[in-house]
Amino acid sequence: MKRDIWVLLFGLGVLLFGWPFLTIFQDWLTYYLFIVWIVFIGLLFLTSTFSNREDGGN
Amino acid sequence: MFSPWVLLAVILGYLLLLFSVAYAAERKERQGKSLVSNPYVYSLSLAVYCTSWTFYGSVGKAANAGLSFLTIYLGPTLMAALWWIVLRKIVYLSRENRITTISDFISSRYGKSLGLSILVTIVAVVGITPYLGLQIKAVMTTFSLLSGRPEGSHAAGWFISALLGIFAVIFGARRLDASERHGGLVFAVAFESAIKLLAFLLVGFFVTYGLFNGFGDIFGKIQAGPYASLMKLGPGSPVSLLEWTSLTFLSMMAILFLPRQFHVAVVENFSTSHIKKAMWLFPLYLFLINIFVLPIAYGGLLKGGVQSSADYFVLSIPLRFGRPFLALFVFIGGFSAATAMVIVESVALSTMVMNSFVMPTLWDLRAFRNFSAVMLNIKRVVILGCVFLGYTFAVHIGEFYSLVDIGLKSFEAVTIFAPSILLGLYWRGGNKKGAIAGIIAGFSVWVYTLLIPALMRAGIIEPGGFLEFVFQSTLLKPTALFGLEGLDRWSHSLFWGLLLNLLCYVGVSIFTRQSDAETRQAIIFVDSYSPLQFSQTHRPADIAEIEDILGQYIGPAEAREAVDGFLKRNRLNRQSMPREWLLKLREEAERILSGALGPSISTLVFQDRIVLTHDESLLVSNSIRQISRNLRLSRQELAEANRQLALLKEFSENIIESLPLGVATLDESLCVTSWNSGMEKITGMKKAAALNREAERLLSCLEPGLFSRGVREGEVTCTRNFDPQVVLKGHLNGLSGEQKGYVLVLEDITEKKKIEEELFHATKHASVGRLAAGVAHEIGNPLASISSLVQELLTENASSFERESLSTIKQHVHRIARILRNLGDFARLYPRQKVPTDLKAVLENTLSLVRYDRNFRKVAVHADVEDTPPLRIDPDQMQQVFLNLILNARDAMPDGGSLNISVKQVNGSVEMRFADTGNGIDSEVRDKIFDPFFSTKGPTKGTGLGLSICYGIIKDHGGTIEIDSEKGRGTQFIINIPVAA
Repeated sequence: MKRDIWVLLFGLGVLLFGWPFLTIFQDWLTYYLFIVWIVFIGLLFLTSTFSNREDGGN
Repeated sequence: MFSPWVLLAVILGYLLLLFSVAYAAERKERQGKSLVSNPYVYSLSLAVYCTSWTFYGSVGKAANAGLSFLTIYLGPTLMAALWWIVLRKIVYLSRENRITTISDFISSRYGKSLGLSILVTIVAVVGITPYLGLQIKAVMTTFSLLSGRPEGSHAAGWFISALLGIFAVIFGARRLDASERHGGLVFAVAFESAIKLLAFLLVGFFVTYGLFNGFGDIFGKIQAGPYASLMKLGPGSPVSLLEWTSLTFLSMMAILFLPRQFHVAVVENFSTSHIKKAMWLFPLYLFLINIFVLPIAYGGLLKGGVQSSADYFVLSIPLRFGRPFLALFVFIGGFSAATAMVIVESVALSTMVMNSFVMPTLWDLRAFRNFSAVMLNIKRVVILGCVFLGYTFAVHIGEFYSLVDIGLKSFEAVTIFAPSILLGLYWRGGNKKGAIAGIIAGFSVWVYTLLIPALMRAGIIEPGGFLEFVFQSTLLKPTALFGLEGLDRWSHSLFWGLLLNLLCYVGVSIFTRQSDAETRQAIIFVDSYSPLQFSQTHRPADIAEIEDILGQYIGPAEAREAVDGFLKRNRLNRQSMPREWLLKLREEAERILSGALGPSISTLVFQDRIVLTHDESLLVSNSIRQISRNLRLSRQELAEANRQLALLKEFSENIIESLPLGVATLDESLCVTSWNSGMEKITGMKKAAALNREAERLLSCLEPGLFSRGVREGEVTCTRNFDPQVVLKGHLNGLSGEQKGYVLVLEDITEKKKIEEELFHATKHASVGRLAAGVAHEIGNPLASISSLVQELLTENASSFERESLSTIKQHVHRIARILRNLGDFARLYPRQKVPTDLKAVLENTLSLVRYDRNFRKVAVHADVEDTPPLRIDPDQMQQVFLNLILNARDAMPDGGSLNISVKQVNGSVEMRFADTGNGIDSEVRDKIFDPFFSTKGPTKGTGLGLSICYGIIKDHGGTIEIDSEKGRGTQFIINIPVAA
């Protein structure tokens, strides 16, 4: 389950930072990239915090 | 502008600060209060990734190629999502195997191959040197910019390189044990990461909000100007989507496989829990350090800066707009970025060189005194060598390339390791030959497509002649290999390098064999240290699961019993089991299992984990070795026991086969399971034909049938119903022990029965003989007196009545005397002389006695007498036997008949047959015919002693007399007397 969610996040990142989204958001690309980037970091933060709690702090 | 001496003083001061920070961290660590062992320092230390390329080069890249600079940071951000899977596994493997460099990691995965380690080290040193050079170049350039004296930059570069080398030596090579963490170094690197971030944020804020009105202002102006394309990707922009993707991939690989990243992320990792926090902290750092890159780059362009000098906008803008101290702080920030990279990278490379080249070469000298000190000094020299190699590159080649160009070459170089490491972590089939082939292929492509063109551009390699011909050819053009046009150089090099690398690695691995060491390491790397399984302390959810696990090893019934016992002892029930008791039940189950599997394995079984620590590995290894040894011994003992068992079986079978008995074993359904040769003789049935057949059918030749009334254990006497007839005694008994079935033993008792009968007769005759002798003696004497008196009285004058009475008395006395004489004969009171006698003569004398008897007129006597050797017999007694038999034959044929007498030699005896055609004898009385006083003639006709006397005489001569008679068909007496008798 944990392995899957990390792979899923990775896949999501690859998708968001690649074609076709970069083409779709061409006109606002700078904003798109930085917003998606910080959102992605937020997802990493949430996922690691959530899984940390599951592990009892590891 | 600042004086070069001031700048050098600032540099020295900063380095002293770094020394102080590093020293303080080490001192705290020695005191047991580590400043380094926390995820924040770990995350900041990972930011060694952000070198002067990031600090200066990103702005240059953004000013020239727009958004593509982001790929260098988005790649690591994406890869961070997989760190919990990939990086954690690498950290575990490295820690357990004391791996300290990426070359050791690869060589360890492929059977600890020194050759592979050397190859990786060569690739790393060659590939990373430009990157080191990049840092020195950045420091030298910024030094010149800030001092305004470009002519002294090389000297300053040399001096700064020496300082950096010394710093690296002090904090990276104080001890020889490379596996020991460098707490001071890491803390200094983290400190530098903070400084460079702060410096960049400051300058970014100054440009964005000091020179412009924020992001929107800058972006709006750029979009409206000639540089609008910088804000796009793909068609119409300086960067294609393919290049974007390629650079993202390269940076994903670089964050894992750059030697310095491997060093800080793996070797310097205190706890894997730090990885989880670094997974978002490090990308956040990257985000922050890049947030002002575009404003600075675009701002620089908008303020009249040119793209070719954009690499140093970070420094030149504050200088230009009257912020010298901000510029100085930026210089410190850039210097931090460069020094951190140079120090860590040179330490990492020097360790690789030491482990791959120096140590193996000088290992034989380890016995010498001060070997450790010598090696430590060599390592220090290697560190300095790495730093100055970078300096050399910066001075001679670096000036021809932008910072990004140089950095990306190194990224391409370390991507060569990707297939060997990543596939090696998850595919057991990869082997050393495949890894070597892949790395050589990838490195060759890298040299051909990136390095050689760079050296040519720098003038180190002169184009012309054959080389120019090759480079201009359609197939071998370095920027369009095999005619592949249209790709940017990074994508082009990555495509061919990765393709050939993968093909060689997978192909060679598939078609070549792994050595035992490689197989062992492959299992360890791929299977044994699966990080996801490592921390998953699997807790069985309920009793049924614990029982199921236990049942797999000790059996379901035993598992059920163990669990029930636990519940009973603790007064628990299955339906409502508190969690703490569930854990106790698991511990109980582990204890039970540890008896069968050992403690390590039993723990693993319940934790459902495959990852083993070093100690566990040793324990499991020892257990397995012990089990193997025991199994080997057991096999030997088993083989010996088998041999003994085979001998015993053979011995038993020989005994059973050699028994003069018929022995057969039957299963529960009375089918034959074994059949000895004695059984074959008795039944005439061969073993092969008898096995697995029903015993009742096989033994149908016996009467009465052994199983005619079901299976009755015990003894039974029966006869065989085909000639020659034999009498058998059978024993049927059930098998004892676990075996079910019966054993049947048949004994031929024909001879025994015959002997018993003869003994019975002999005993009876002897008894009667003794009685007869007594009677004859006791009666004979008074009878002789009576006879004398009667004879005397007859001579006296007596009346006719008296004379008649005396005559009658005399007749009866004679009769009594005759009886007594017969009794005497029976008792053989008179000794007889055995002499060689012609039997034929005896028979003829006997026949002559009866030939003229009127009672024989109706009897035809035929004698067939062959010549026989003389027998040592008493002729009178033998004549008495013959006479008795002939007279008996006559009495048996009152109405006439024939008497056939034959005498012939049969083997070692003479056989005499007296066969009449008389009435014959009933079978009921046949056995009594030789008994004394037994007569079928009635009381007046015989004494019943004739045949008894015959029997006694024949036995006296060592012979046999038998009767063969059937009622109504005559009687035949058969006498056999041995010739030697």
